[in-house]
Amino acid sequence: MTNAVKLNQPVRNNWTDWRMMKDNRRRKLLVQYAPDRVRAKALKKNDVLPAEIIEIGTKMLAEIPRDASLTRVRNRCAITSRPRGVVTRWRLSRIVWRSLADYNKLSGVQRAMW
Amino acid sequence: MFPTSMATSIRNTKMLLRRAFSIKRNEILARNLCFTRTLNANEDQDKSKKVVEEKKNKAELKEAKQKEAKAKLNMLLESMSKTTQKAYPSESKLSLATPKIRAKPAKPVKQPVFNTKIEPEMLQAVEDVSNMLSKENEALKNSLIAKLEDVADESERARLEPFKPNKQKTEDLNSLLNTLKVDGKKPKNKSPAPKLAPVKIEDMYGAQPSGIFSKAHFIEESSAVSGLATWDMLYEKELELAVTHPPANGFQQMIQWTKQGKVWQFPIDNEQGLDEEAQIGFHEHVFLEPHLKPWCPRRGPVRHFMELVVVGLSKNPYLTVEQKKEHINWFRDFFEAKRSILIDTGAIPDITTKSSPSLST
Repeated sequence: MTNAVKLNQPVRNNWTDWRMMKDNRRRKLLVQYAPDRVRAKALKKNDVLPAEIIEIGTKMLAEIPRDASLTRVRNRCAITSRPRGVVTRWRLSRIVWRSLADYNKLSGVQRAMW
Repeated sequence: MFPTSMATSIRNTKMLLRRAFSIKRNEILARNLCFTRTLNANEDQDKSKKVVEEKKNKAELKEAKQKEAKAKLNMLLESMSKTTQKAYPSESKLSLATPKIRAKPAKPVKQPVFNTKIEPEMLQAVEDVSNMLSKENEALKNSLIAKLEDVADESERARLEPFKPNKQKTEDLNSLLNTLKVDGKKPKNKSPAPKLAPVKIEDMYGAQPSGIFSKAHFIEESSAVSGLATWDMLYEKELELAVTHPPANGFQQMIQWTKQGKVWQFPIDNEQGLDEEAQIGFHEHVFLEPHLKPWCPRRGPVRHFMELVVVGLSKNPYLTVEQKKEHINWFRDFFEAKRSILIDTGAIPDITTKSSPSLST
């Protein structure tokens, strides 16, 4: 389980699959455009300022790339890139999580028995 | 005369075997003597002596034969000559049809005349050499220049024409190589390197400089941008790896992280690592109105909007004070840029009516 990411294979990147790579790209864009997004959204979503300013706000928001949106980011499994069944605290798919837990690699995780 | 008893026949066979294994003749004789004594205990001593004598004669005969054989071998070796003699003469005595030898019309070899530019430096060098050897010798100079021109022409021709292997030259080369191959003997003792007389250096640094390279123009290799970006990057990586020592195992990794301060300290403190933030008091986070004071109008939609922004920022625990200030400043700059629109819509009171130049009233 220590060699989860195989580093010595001839590949262009070491992501598990392309979806994981794209998700990573989206996260980076999110961080990059976060302040612009906040300001544009503030200008857009208010009824205090005049309409022209609000229009400018909507335009600014539209200019920001779509991949910079928070809704596009998916919390995938860090090892298998599974989009569903991800245990949030460990960022792992439930299958991977279970195998690690069985090998006693997760701190404080024990088989439930009551 | 061979005695015809069983013992002697046995003895003969044993003798043959011993001869095959090339034991010394004296030993053979001795053993025969011993053998004869034990076996021929009943026989007379004279008879045994006779046998010994006969054995001696046999040995002598054998020696003589061996000597003859050796002599013959030597003769054969001497007679063998190194050069292989042909069994048959090369020229045959038969009158066979021979092809007519037609002299091919010699093609006029096109010698393209090149106006090869002899570099002025070369010319100068040639002139210097001629001057050094014999001053004001026009003939020598001209001959040297002519030779230079020839060389230049030949090189130009060779450069332009494609390379055609010269058959005569290849044949010569091949024959030369063959003669080299036939020589089988390898000289075991290497001829010692020619021993030169030791150079007498009187004064190493006191002599006058010869000035050979005083006028030399060394062409620097153009260190242009190499198109191998990946290679350069990998080379730099290798250099870094040579200097740094990445951890070889998990223990070393943990040690490195502990030293870097990346490892959680127990008991767990959620704000571990945020020392600078801890020093900044809450008042800087919450009371952001002073940042609005210099520029924001006291009333109006702009003020309303900025108040909302400030309230939101004050409630945000995730941003640093700098980031909050950045936000406020951005809005200030934005409203400054859209000043005309704000005035048109009536968000900001018109400046021309008022005396103060800033946005605030």
